[in-house]
Amino acid sequence: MAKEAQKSRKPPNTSFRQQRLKSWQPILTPRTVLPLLFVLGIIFAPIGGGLLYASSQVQELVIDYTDCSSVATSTYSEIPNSYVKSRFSNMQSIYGNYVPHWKLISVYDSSLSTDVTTCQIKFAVPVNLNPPLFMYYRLTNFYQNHRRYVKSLDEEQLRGEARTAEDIKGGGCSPLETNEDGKPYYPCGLIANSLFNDSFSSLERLEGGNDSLNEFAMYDTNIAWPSDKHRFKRTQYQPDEVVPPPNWVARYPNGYTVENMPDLSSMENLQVWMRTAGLPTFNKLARRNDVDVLEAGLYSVKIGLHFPVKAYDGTKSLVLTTRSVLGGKNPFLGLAYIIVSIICVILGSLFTIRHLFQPRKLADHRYLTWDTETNNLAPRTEERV
Amino acid sequence: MGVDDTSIQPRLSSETTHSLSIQEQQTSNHGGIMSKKHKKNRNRPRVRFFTSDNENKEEEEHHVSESDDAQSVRTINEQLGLDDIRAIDNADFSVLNEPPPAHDASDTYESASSMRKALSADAEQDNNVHVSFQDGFAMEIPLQNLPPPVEENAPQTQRLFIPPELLRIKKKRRLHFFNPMQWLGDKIAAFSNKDHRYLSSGNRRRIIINPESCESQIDSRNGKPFIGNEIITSRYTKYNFLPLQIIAQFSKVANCYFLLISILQMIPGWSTTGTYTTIIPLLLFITISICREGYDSCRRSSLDRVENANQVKVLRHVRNEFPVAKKTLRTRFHRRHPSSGMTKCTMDSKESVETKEVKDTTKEFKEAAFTATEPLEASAPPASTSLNTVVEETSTATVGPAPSIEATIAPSDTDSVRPTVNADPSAIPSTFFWSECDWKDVRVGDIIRLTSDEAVPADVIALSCSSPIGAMYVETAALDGETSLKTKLINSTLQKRCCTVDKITKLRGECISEDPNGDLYNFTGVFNLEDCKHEIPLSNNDIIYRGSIIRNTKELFALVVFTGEETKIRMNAVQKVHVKTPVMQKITNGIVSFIFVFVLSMAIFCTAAYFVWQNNNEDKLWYMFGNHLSVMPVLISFIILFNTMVPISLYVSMEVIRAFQSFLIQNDLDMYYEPTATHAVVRTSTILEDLGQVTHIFSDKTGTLTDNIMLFRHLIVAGQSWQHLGPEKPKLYVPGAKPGDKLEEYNDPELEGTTVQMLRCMHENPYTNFSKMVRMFLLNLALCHTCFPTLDEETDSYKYQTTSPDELALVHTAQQLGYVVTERDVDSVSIRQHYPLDSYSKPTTKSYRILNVIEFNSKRKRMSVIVRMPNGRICLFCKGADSVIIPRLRLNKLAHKKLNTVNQQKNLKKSVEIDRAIARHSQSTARPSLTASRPSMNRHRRDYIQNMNSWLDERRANILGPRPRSSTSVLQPRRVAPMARHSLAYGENVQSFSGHQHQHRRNNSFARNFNEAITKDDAAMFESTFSNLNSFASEGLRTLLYTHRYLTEEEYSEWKSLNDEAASSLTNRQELVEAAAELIETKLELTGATAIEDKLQDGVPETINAIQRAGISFWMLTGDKRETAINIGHSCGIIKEFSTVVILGVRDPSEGSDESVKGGKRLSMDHHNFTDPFSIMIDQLVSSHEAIRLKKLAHLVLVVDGSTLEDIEADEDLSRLFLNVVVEANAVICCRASPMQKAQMVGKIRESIDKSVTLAIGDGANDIAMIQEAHVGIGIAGREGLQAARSSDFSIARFKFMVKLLFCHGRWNYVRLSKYILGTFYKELYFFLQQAIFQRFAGYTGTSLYENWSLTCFNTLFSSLCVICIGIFDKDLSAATLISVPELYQTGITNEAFNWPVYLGSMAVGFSQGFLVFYCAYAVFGLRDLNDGTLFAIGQLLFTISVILINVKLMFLELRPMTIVPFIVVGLTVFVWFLFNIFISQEYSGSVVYLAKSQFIHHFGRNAAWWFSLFFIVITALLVDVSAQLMRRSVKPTDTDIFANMENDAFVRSRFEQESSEFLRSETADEEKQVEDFLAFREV
Repeated sequence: MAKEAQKSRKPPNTSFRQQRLKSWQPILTPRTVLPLLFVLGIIFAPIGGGLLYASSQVQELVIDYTDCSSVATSTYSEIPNSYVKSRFSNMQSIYGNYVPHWKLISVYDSSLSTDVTTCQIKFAVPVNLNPPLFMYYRLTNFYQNHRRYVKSLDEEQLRGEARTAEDIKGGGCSPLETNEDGKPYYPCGLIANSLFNDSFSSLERLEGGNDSLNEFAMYDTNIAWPSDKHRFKRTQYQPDEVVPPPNWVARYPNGYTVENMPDLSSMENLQVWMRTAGLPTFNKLARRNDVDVLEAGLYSVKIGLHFPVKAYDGTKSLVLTTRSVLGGKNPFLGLAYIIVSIICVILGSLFTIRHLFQPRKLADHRYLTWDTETNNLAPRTEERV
Repeated sequence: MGVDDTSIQPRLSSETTHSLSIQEQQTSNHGGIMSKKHKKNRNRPRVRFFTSDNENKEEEEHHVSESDDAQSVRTINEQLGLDDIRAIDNADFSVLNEPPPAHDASDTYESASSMRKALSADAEQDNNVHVSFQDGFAMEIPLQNLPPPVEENAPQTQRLFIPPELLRIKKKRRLHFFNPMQWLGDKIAAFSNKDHRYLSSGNRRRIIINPESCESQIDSRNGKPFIGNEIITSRYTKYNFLPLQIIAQFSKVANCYFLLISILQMIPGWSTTGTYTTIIPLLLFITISICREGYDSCRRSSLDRVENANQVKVLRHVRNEFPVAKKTLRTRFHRRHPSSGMTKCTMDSKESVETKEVKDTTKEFKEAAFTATEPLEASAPPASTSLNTVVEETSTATVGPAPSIEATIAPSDTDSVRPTVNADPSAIPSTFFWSECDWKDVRVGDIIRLTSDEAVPADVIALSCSSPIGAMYVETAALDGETSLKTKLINSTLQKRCCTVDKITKLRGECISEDPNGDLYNFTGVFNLEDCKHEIPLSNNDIIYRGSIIRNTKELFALVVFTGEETKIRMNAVQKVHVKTPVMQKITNGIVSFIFVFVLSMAIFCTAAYFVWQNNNEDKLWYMFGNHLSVMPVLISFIILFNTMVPISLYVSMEVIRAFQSFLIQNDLDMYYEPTATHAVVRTSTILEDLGQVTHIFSDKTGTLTDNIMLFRHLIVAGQSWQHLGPEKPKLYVPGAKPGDKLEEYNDPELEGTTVQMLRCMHENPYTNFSKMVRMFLLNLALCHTCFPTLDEETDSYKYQTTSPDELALVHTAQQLGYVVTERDVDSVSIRQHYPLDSYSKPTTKSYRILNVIEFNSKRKRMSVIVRMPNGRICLFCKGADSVIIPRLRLNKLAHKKLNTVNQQKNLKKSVEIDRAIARHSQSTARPSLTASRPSMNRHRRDYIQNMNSWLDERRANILGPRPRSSTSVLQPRRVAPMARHSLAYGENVQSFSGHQHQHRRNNSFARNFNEAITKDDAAMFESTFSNLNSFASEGLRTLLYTHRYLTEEEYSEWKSLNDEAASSLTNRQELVEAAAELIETKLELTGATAIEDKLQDGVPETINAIQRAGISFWMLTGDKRETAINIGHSCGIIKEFSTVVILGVRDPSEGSDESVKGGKRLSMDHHNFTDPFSIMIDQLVSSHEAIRLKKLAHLVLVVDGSTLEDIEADEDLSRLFLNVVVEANAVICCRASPMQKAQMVGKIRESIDKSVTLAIGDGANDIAMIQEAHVGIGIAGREGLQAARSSDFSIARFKFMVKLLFCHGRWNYVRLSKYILGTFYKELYFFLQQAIFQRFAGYTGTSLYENWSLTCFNTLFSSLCVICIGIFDKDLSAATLISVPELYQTGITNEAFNWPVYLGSMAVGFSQGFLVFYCAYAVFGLRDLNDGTLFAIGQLLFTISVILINVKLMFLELRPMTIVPFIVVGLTVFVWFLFNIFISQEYSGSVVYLAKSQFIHHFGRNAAWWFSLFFIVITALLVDVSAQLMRRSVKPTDTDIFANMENDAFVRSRFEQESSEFLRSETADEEKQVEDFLAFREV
C-alpha cells in the first residue's frame, strides 16, 4: 500500500495534466481572415435580402394624431405629411396617393355620459390587408421604464386580493397608494393610473370593398398576452372599500359601485398597458381582427382624445399593420445585414490590397523586437533604475 | 595617546581590547546586578592601566607581557610586510578613553574605512569588521567600541570622484496611501510581540555561571528575564488570529470596496439590483481566505511545537532532599506560559504537577540516582582543588589571550587532567542531575550536554568535549550551507576546567558576551571565572550556534548564551516575513482604482444627467405625480448598478485559476525527478505569475548548482595532463577481482591520455624519469592530507573521514591509482602500493612517519607534511593554490616567466574573444534583411528555413560563444549545446573546444616519446603545466599544485627547533607557526598538479545560459570562498570565456585571480596605485560602467565578497554606485555571504530597482532568509533536507527544472493571468456600458436593463467559465518554443501582456463593442418591435448577445491553442444560459419590473426578429474584434505573434522541439510526426 503511494507521486501522463491537449493553431493572419470576411459578406447579403423582403410584405399605416386636437377642424382636412407614414406594398392602386384626412368632432360617450372630443381620421387602404390586422397606438417620450413608475403597482391587488390600506402602503404603489381619506386606490400605483385612455373605434368603410358591410370590426379582446390572464383577477374588494385612481375619476366620477366596479381580468387594455415598455418609444396593441380581410378602400376611425401627451412633449400615433414572420415592419434589420455584408467585402478587399502590395510574413524573426534593438538583453540602468 | 592611533582597530590584539573594555564596563557597572560574592571580589578600583595601585601589580605585569607580545606580533607583521599595524598597543588603551561613537552613516564609513585601511593587508577579514546591518539594526552599538572619526586621517578623504549620474538612484515610485486597516493591524501585531532583540546594552550580555542557581537570569537591557528558547514562527496566536485576519482581509482595497457596496446595497430602496447579491459571495470568499490562513498558521505552529519539544539534557540542581524534590519538580515549566520567557525556579515552584510530568521526572531521577552513586568518590574535594591549582598555574603561565590551539602543544598540562576526563563524564554529584528538558525550556546560563549527531538547541559556548585536545566537529549546513564539517578547538583553559561534570558544578563566575546579533562569522566574549584570575577570551571558535549538529564528538558540555529569537539562526531569519503578493497586483490595483474612479464618475455623470433630465422632462411627466428621486438614492443606485465592473469573481476565479495552475505545475512530468520521486510543489499559489516576470535570480551554490560532490578530473605530471575517468569506467581498482583477470581492454585508444595510460606507461618503463615523477606525485597525493581511513569490511575498501570533500576526492584517487592509505596514526601513515591494472601485482605496504603537519588555512592556502620516508630520508610534501606555490618553487623565476607567457597568451586569446563577442553583438543589429526576390515558393521556403537556422544558431552563439557553424543542414540532428552537457562529466569542456582538447590529444599521443624529454626540461614542463592549469581553471576546475622537497637532517632539525619554539609560544602562536612554516616551504620541486571538479547538477550550464539569454541577471550568492565561487562561475557558465571578471575591492591583482588582470586591461584599471580599498572599488565600478557604456565589454561579471559588501552597505555613495553598476553587470558572484547578507542583497535589489522581480533559489537552511525575502522563493528539495523547500514558495528537485518552471509555466501563468484579468475587465466594461447607455432611455433614473437574477448570475454562471479557462488553458506559445528561445521570456519582464496600453486597448474594444451592440439592438429590435418592446425582452436580447459575444471572443479569439475546451465552454455556457431563460420563463414570477414569466417561451423566444437581431449583432461585434486584432497584428506584431506564426511551420516546430529536448520529455507520437515532416520537406 505504502509502496503504491510512493509510486503514485509520479504525476500521471495525461494530456490534460501535461498540458498537451490536442490542439490546432488558427492564427488571425490576413490569410485566414480574408476568406472569413468574404464568406461573411456572402452569407449576410441574402439574409438581409430575405429580411427586407419579409419586411416589405408588411402593410403599415402610421398616423401621428397628437396634433389632431389643435390642428384639425370640424371638417376633414389633409393631415400634414409629416404625421403620416403609409407603407403599403402597392401604392399604385387607386388609393395609392390618397392623403389621409382628419377632423375634430364631438361624440357622446355613453360610458362617460358626456361628449368627448374625438378625432376622426379618414385614410385609404390601397390593397387588401390579410388578417390578422392590428391596431396599435404608439407613444413616444413616455417613460414607462422610469425607476419609480416601473414598479409602482401592487401585484396582489391586481391578482384580486383585497389589500388593506396598510398592505398597500407596504407595497410598491407609492406614491399613489391611498387617497386623502386613507382608502386605497384600485388599482393603485402610477402605471394603472396613467392608463392610456384614448378610445379607438372600429373601422368604418367609406368607399370600396365588395360586401355590404360598412364597418370593419376591430376587437379589443385577445390583445393581452395569455400569461397576463394569471396576473389579473376579479377583485375581492367591496366597491366602497376603494377609490379609483385620480386619472380614472372622469370615468368613475362617483367612485366605484357594484355595477361599475372594474373587472381587471377582462380589462385587456389595462393588462397591455401594465406590461411596461422598455424604451420611451413603444407600441401597444389596442385592437385586432384575426379573421377578416380588410379590403382596399377608404376607411375612417374615430379616436376619443383623453390622453394628454403634449404636456410632456410626447406624441401618440395610430398604427394599423399586418404582420409577417418578423412581426411588424422592420426594414432596418434587413438593411443592417446588407450593410455589414458590404462592409465585410470592402474590408476584405482593403486587406487584400494591402496584403498584395505590402506583404509581410509574420513568421519572420526580423520583426522581433530584440533583434531590432541592441542585442544586450540585460536590463539597463536607463530603464530600470 | 595620539589621536592618530585611535583610528586603528587592531585585529591581532582584539582579544586584549575586549578584555580591557569589558573590564572597564564592569567597573562602571559593578554595583549593579552582580551577585554579592562577586561584588566582594571586584570591589577594588579596576581602572587597571591608569592606576598605580599596588594590588594590581600582577596585572601590570600582565600588561607588560602583553605589550611585549604585541611587539613580537609587530615584528612578525613587519616581516610579512604589514606596516600598518604600527600603533596597536597604544590603540588598545585609547579606546577606553573614548566615548562610544554615534552610529550614523558617515561615522560608520569613516571608522570602517580606517579599520579597513589598517587591515587591508589582511586578506582574511573575517573577524575584524563588525557587521552593521540594515536600519533595523541601527540601535546596535558596534561591538568593539569603534573610535570616532578623526580628521587627520587623510587618505579616506581623497576618495575617487564618482560621476554624479552614477549616484542617482531613482526612487522607486510608490504611492503611499494611508491604510488605516493596515496601521491597525501593525499596531495589534506590534502589541502582541514586541521585538527587544536589537536593544543595546551599554554593558554586554552578562551571564552568571552558577549551576546551583535556578533563577532565571535577567536581561540587563530591559530588566526582564532573558527571552525563552521557544521559537514561534507562526504569525498568529490563538487570540489574535481572528482580529488580525479580519483586519488583513479588509485592508485589501478590493474587499473594502465590496463591503461598502454590499452595505449600500442593503439599504432598502436604494438598490435596483437586489439586496444580498454582493455580501454573500464576499463573506464566502473572505471566509475561505481566512480558513486557508488559519490552516497555514496551524501547520506552522505544529512544526514549531515539534521543534520546541525536542529534548536536550540540561544540568539542574536539586537543593532539597532527594524525595522531596521528586514531588515538586517540574521540568516543563513553560507549558502554561509559553511566551512569557519567564522561567520559574524549578524547585521553588509550588504549582501542581501534571501526572505525566511526574512520571517523566521520576524516570530522570532514577537515572540520576543511578549515576550519582560512584562518582562521589571520583570527584572528591581534594582532587578538584588540586586540579584547580593546576589550572591556575597554567593560566598564569598562559596569560592573556590564549589561542585556542594552545591545547595541542601543552601536553604536560593536559596529561595531568586527562585521567579525570576519561572517567565517566556523566557522573555527577547527587544534587545535580541531567534533566531531560524541552528545547523551549532551555535558559540562558544553563549548562547542557550534547552528544554526537545531536542538534544544538541554542547558541552555546563549548566548555569541554570528550576529545582530549578539545577538538570537536560541527556541521553548520543549516547556517551557512557548507556541508563540510567544521573543526572547533575548545579553549584549553575551559576544556581543562570543565572536563567533568563535577568540575562544571563547581564553576562560578560569569560569561560576558556581545549583544545578540546576526553575524555568523564573528563573536566576542569573555569568561570570568572566580578562581581564575585571568579572563578567558572567547571568539567565534568557541561558540556553536543553534541549528548546528554535533558530529564525531562523543560528548560536549556547553553553556547557553543566546536563546530563542536571540540565537544567530533566528536573527538571520527574516523576522517579518512579508506576505508575498504578486507583482502584477500593483498594476491590477491601479486598474481597479481606475475603474473605481470610472464607476464613480459614471455614477456622478448619470446622477447629474438625471437632474438635467428632471428639469427638462420629468417635471412635465404628469403621470409621475411629481415623484422625484433625491440625490443619494440616485447616486448610490448608480454606484451599485455599475459596481460589478470590478467583480468579486475577479478575485474568486483568480483563486480557482491559481489552484489549477498549481495543479499543472505539480503534475508536470518534466519537473519530476525520478531518483528521489519528487515533483514540483507549489506552496504559495498567489505568486504564480511572478514566475514569468523574474528579472534577477539569486542562486545558492552548494546543493543548488552543484551536488557538492567532488570529482577528480585531471592530474598533471611532468607537464602532461592525464584525464582521470573515475573508478567506474575502467575499473581501476577492483577489490574483489580474482587474480589473473588481466584487464586487457585498457589498450583501448579511448583511454589515450587517461590515468590508465599513465599507469601503464609507468608500469612498463618503471625506471624512467617520468615514472619516478609519477610515483612521487602519487605518494604526495597519498600523504599530504588529513584524512583518516577506516576499513569497510564488506567491500574490502577504505573509506575516509575528513572535513573537506576535496581531500576526500584526492585520497580516493590515490587509492584508485594504487596508493591506498590504509592506516593513519598521529605520527605515521601506512600506504599500500599496488598496480591497479593488474590484480596479480602484489601489494606492498610501507609506513611513513609523519614528522610535522603544517595545516591548511585560508590565509596560507597550502598545507605541508614533513615525512620520514621508509628509506630514512626526510621529505616535505606541500600542496596548495598555484598563487602561493609558484613563488616558493626552487625555480620560481623561471616559473614566473613561464607563467607570464602563458598568461599573456591567455589574455591575448581572451581579448580576441571579447572583441569577437562584441562584434557579434553589433553585427546582428546591422544585418541586412534578406527578402529580395523569390523565384518560387519552394526556393523561398528553403531560404526561409536556412535563414531561421542560422538565426537560431546565432542567437545561441551570442551568449554561448562561438560554436561550429557547419550544422545548418536540416536533417542533421542537433543536440542542445552538447559541449556543456557532457563536458564536465566526461572530460574536456568542448565549449572551450577544439583548442585544448586537440592539444591534449596530440600531446598525449606523443606522450610516450616526449615523456622523457620533457622531464629534463623544466621550462617546458612549467609552461605546459601552467597552460594546462589555466585551461582547467577557466573550465572551473579547482586546481592544486603538488610539490616536494627533500630535507637534510640538519636542515630539518634546525627548522624543527624553530618550529617547536613557535609552537610552544604562548602568544600569537598562529603567526609564529606560520612564519616558521614560511621558512621551510621554499625551494620546492614541482611534483604535479590536480584538477578537481565540483560536480555541477546536470543541465546547470544550459539552464544558466538560458537564463542569461532570457535577459535575467544571474547572481550567485554563496558562503564559499572566493576562489571556489569563481571556479564554479566558470564551470557553470556564469563566467564565459569572453567575460570580464571584476573582483571588487581587491588591490593586488595577484591576490585575487588572474581575472582581474584581464579585467584591468579592458577596464583601464591596470594602474592599481590606490591603497584605499574604497578607491579601488570606486575605480573598478566607475571604469566598468564606462566600459559597458562604450561597449568595450562583452560580458561583465562582478565578484564581491561578504565583507566588501558590508563596507559598500555602510557607505551611501558607494552603495548607490554599486547598485548602478551592478544592474549593468551580466552576472554577479557574491561569496562569503552570510544568510542575512544574502537576504539583504535580495532585499536591496527588490527595493531599489524599479520593476525588479527577484527570485531566490537555494536548498539549505541558510537560504531561507533569502528565499523569504525575494519576490519568489524557490527551494531545491535536495540533499540537505527540506528546510528551504518548506519555507519556499515553490520547490523543485533540480536546478534545471527552473527552465520549465520559469520559461514555460512562469510565462504561461503570467500570460494567462494577464489575459484573464484583461478578459474580466473587458467583459465587465462591455456589459455594464450597456447599462449606462440604457440610462439615456430610462431618464437616468437607474432602472436596470437586466433582470435581477440574470444579472446576479452573469459573473458566476455565464461568464466565469470562459475567463477561468483562459487562465488555465491558454498557451500562447508551445513549451518547445519558449525553451528554445528564452528571449521570449522578455514578455514577462517588460510586462508586455498586461500594462496600461494593453488594458486601454482592450477597453477600447469593449467600449466600441458596447456602443455598437446597444445601438444595433436599439435600432433593429427595440425601436421596431411591436409586441415585445418590454424591458425584459430587450434586456435579455442584450444579455444573450453579451453571453455569446464574451464567450466566443474570449474562447476563440483570445485563447491561443484551439482545443476541445473552447467548444465545450461556449457550448455549455450558452446552453446553460438558455436553460436559465427557459427556467425563469417557466417558473419565475416574482419580478414586478421584468415580468419574466413565459416571455421567453411564448413571446420573444418565438420572435424571428429577436433571433435575427441576435445573430446579426453577435457577428458584427465579433467582426469588429477580429478586424482590430488583424490590424494590430499586421501593423505591429509582437514577438509572441511572430513566434506563434513560426510555430505553425512544421520545420521550425521540429527544430524547436529538438533544441528543447534537454528540458522536455519527448513525445513519441510527435517525434514520428517530425520525421514525416522532414521527409515531406525533403521531397519538396
